[in-house]
Amino acid sequence: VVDPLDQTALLCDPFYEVRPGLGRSPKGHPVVQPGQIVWAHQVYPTSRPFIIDIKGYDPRDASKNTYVVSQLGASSVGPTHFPIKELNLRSDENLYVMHGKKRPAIVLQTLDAGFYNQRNPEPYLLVAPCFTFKDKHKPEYRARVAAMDFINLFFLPARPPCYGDQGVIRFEHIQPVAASGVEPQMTDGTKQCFLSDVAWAVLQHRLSLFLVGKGLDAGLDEDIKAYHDCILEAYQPPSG
Amino acid sequence: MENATRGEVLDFTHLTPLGKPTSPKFDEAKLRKIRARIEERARSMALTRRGAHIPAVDAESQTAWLEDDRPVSLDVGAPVKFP
Repeated sequence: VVDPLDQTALLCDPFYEVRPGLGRSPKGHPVVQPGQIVWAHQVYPTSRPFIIDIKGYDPRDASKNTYVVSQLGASSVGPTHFPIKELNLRSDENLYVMHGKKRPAIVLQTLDAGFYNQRNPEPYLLVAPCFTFKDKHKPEYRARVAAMDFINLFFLPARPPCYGDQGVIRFEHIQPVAASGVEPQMTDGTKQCFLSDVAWAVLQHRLSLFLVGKGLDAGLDEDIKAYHDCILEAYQPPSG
Repeated sequence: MENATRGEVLDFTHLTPLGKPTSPKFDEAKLRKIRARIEERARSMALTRRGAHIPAVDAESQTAWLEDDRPVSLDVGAPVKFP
């Protein structure tokens, strides 16, 4: 059964585009561009921070150091230990332990420090993680997401090879990732996947609304409202 | 399986078939018009994908930021004890 929400043409057609790959930087990192789909290790902060704390410290033989997992209170401030040379940690820095997963993401921003700093390009990208819907997510809920009912979610239609399953971008999980650790979503080994220009513009509009409470284009707001109503009218639950 | 207990037989007696999926009826003509307007609006926004470029770099000051980006040095293979 074809899921009507997976019709890419619902919001715009195409939603994704396949384009030639962008190659690699002089340092060997994949060159990526805003709007591109990549795979990256992404983490979720824990409600209370977990850290790896040093327990036994042998200044003569670092391999004999022992470590324990500790939890910090939300109000913990200031140094928690002496500087740890072997871990390259200052007294007020920790190694945090978080859940994480390698998952698809949309690149939101890259940073090019320019001609004078090309030998040391900025090592981070800003990405928006993509999450696949769970089986428990009913069609009506998915329709509400597609209709842009939720300010923190942006619907992603399933359209292999760019994106295999219906999902969402969750704006509250936007995070930096290491540029050296991302892999472009590839097709046939040479081409890469991007949001189309229209999907990219609507995403930017919605992200602006999420971040600053105002979209980029007032006229687009009106069209999105009409789109919202059109989708939800089609998904009205049966009466009675 | 929700609420399963390790070592006990799984209970499938409460499974129910999935409900019939809703068949949405889109107003295709209306949707086509909205889609065309969204496309027109989006294109008029003329957003770029060039990324952020820093036209001026203060190399000396920039280097100071790198102090916060020191590589993590970990003793790979060191045991970690869970409390």
